[in-house]
Amino acid sequence: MFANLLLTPRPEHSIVAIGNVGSARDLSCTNDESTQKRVACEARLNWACFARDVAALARALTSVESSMESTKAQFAMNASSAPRWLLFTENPYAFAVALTALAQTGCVAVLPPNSQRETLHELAEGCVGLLSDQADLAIALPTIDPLAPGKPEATVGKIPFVARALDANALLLEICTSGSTGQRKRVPKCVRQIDAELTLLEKVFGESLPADTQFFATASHQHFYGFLFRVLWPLVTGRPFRLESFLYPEEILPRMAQTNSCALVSTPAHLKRLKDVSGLETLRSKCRVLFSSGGPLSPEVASALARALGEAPIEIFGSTETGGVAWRKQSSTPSGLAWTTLPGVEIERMPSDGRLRVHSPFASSESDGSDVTKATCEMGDCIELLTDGRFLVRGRADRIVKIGEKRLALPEMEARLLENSFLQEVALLPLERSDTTRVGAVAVLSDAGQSFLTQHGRRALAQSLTQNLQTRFDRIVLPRAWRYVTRLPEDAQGKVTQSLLRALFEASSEVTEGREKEIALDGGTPEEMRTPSTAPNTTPFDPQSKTPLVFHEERSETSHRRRCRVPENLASCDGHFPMNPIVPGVVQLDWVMTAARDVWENLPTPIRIEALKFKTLLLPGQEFELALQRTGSKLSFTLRNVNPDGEIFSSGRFVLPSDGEKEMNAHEMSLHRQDSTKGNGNDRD
Amino acid sequence: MQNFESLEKELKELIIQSLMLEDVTPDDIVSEEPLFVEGLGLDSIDALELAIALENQYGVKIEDNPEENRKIFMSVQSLAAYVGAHRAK
Repeated sequence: MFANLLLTPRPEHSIVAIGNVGSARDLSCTNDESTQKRVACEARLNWACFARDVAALARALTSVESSMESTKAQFAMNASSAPRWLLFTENPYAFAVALTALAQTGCVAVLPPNSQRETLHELAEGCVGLLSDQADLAIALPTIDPLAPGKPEATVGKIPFVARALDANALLLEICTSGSTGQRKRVPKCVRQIDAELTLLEKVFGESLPADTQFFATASHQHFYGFLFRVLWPLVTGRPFRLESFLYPEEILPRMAQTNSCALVSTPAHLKRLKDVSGLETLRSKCRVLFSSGGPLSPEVASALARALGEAPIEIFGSTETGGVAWRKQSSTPSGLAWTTLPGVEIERMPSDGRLRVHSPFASSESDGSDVTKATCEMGDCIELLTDGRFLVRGRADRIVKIGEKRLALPEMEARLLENSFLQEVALLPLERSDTTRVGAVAVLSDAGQSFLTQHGRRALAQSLTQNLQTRFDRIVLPRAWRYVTRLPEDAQGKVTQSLLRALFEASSEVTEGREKEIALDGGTPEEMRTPSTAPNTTPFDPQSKTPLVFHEERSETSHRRRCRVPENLASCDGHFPMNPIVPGVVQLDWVMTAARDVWENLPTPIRIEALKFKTLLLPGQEFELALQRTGSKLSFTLRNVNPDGEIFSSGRFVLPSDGEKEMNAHEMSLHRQDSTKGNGNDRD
Repeated sequence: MQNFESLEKELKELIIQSLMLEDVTPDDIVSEEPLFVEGLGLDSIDALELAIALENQYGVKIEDNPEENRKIFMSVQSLAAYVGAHRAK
């Protein structure tokens, strides 16, 4: 495996990596002609080339280190600990060369999760240099392009390099990921762990993969899953891996179809898209396996891919800390979603909270146990054990979310956001939309934030709030949707719960609804006002899209009270009025009627409104109590503030048709409402 | 045949709708500016979602040429040129 990679005899012409780097973004920043020539068209980088590149880089590393020995002594740095190098490149071949050369020279690779400036700066501490082919990373460390020393014109002194077997206990790399507390943490991996996991991958999944199987990938090798599956596994088993990082499945498919045999290392977001690409069935005889990790694959996607390719994808369950834990191939059988533990891995369900505890030769543990070959990790995922030893995953207990293959600790991002003077409080949550997860943010603005919002609008505010996040977080994990509230919604125990936060986003149909009404109200002609009432399905009395968020209700025969909150997303209506959104009177009346119809089924359509008053402006995010009283043919209502003053937003009486009185039609009703609203603030009988 | 400008407008609306860009209006999107990263700030997940939306709305297929795809998805302008020439509905 990796420990004796360079000592295992291998034909010089056997292919290590293959692909068209010139067309991918990978080397787009390299203007070096010889590099471009070398990788022009579909490059095939063979074992001889790999061994030469590794040797050249190892010599360069040795020469840098010997020049640093004096510096080390000067700063009394711990000379016994292995030197650490940051490693970041989008080219998986350069990555493999760099990792191997580092290991051969007794160095440790530190893998940043992204190349954002602050991430690199933070991780640069304790590192002696950076290995990268990207010239624009702006980091104050000695930098070596991993492939540069291997170029013909490169002049590296004739320092001897002799390949050696690696010590199983040597630290090979540190992978940086966000811990559950929000602090970034470095997960150490030693040669023994990596080799144990590679051996296992080959044993469990390698049989169906001929030696010429090309490994394609959409998952990044800077993260553990991609690192192991798309680079190290093919590298140590002599299978070629592809150089490109593909963005669209359409780009991958024809290239996969040209191979004799291939595998794809991917994520749910990409596989969801792949299932719809035409010509997928042409891969049936070529694609031996699709791997998916980074979140559960939806059954719909799994079965569509199984139909097209004959086999469902193999999903891998694990984490950076634990390595691989379990795998599954979904089926429609009753336990078709269950996970099978990988050989050598022991699991248990923690009695306290149902979380998964893993005891595994691949796991990294911070505390050194007595058994050096195994470590124990507690995961954030809750599980249910089945009688046959398999398990089902039942959601996460912590606040880590996975977006694409990126892991995000919500507390970490919240802490960063609160450094912004525009925010007083903020709560983040994952928003699931089809197979994609995005981050939503619910925020309480400071006065400065409020005034920025008033002056510059929602988009500018959102941009400003995410500005400082961009130097730290990958773009895809940045908050996508914002709700600004006067305070974070709390349940009866005073806890800000996910479901309350989520409700603020789920009512988003209100946005369109609100917009339509405002057109009618502000610039509307009677003609426009009539339209909704004559089309029963789009009537403004449709409770589904109209009801504000209801917290609490009390009902009796003749009266009803409910406590509600105006959906914040009404604020995104820019018509009523720009910068100062208020809830239009006609909307308030609709809410009253919606509530009334909830309480009294078959409530007849009112024939007119009496004593209608709009006293105080009702704003998005505000809470109010809606009270209804039914007396004979009159239905009185009040919308009132929930604060102790209890000021009234609006009040009035709907007159219902009494027995024998002809019911007024919807058309006339809508005209009444139009008149009433125009007399905003005045009594009108 | 739809004129270029109205197709650009339509694409902006499609981008906003399909990518859940709640705080963005069509006027905020400059046709010539980059859609990804430094311009509108879309990311790789958006790229996938947008490809689905384009296929559903216009029957446009994504090419198998990565370099070409990056050019097509560069801006609203380049998208409109591509959709205008290749639309099937």
